[in-house]
Amino acid sequence: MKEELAFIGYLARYVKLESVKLKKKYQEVKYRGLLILDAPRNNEESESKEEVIDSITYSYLSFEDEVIDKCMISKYKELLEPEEFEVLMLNIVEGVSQKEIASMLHKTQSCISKMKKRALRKLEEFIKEV
Amino acid sequence: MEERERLFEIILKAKQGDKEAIEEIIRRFEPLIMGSVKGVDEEIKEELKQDLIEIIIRAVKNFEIK
Repeated sequence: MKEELAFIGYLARYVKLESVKLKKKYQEVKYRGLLILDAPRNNEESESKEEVIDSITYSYLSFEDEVIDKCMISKYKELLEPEEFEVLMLNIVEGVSQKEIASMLHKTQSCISKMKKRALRKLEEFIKEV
Repeated sequence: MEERERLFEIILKAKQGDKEAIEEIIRRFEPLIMGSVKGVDEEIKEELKQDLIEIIIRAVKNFEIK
């Protein structure tokens, strides 16, 4: 089951990443078809001073968040069964729906839902104790 | 293909080039494909679906089992 969940996670990430790239590619092709020569140039790279400052500040904050997230995730990993942890990560972090996970594992959605609820209950108890 | 065959066994067969196993993986991952093409223009939806199926087949072959 652990390998299966790892595979689903890998494939979900891969498919989502590739679908974003493909959608962008298709949009570019469509845009090129509609391109008007005197249309204003859409320069996405130009940034105002405020945007640069924001990006520096938020990149620092996101690093702090990342450290906290990693600590929390390693604690959750200790608390949960490997299957529960993987299902929770796939559903919440990777954004794979319960229906998708169930279909891939050939299980019912209610089975995945129960697993997720069980995991969340454990985490809730842990948070109450802290 | 046996109805309750585990995904792991299907992956192993698919990696060896078993066509039925590859078809089964695509069937099981259809909700993921449909989710990825949601909101896309109808004219490119089918093309995108085909591309994603190709991507899945490639990903299965590249997936390393530890």
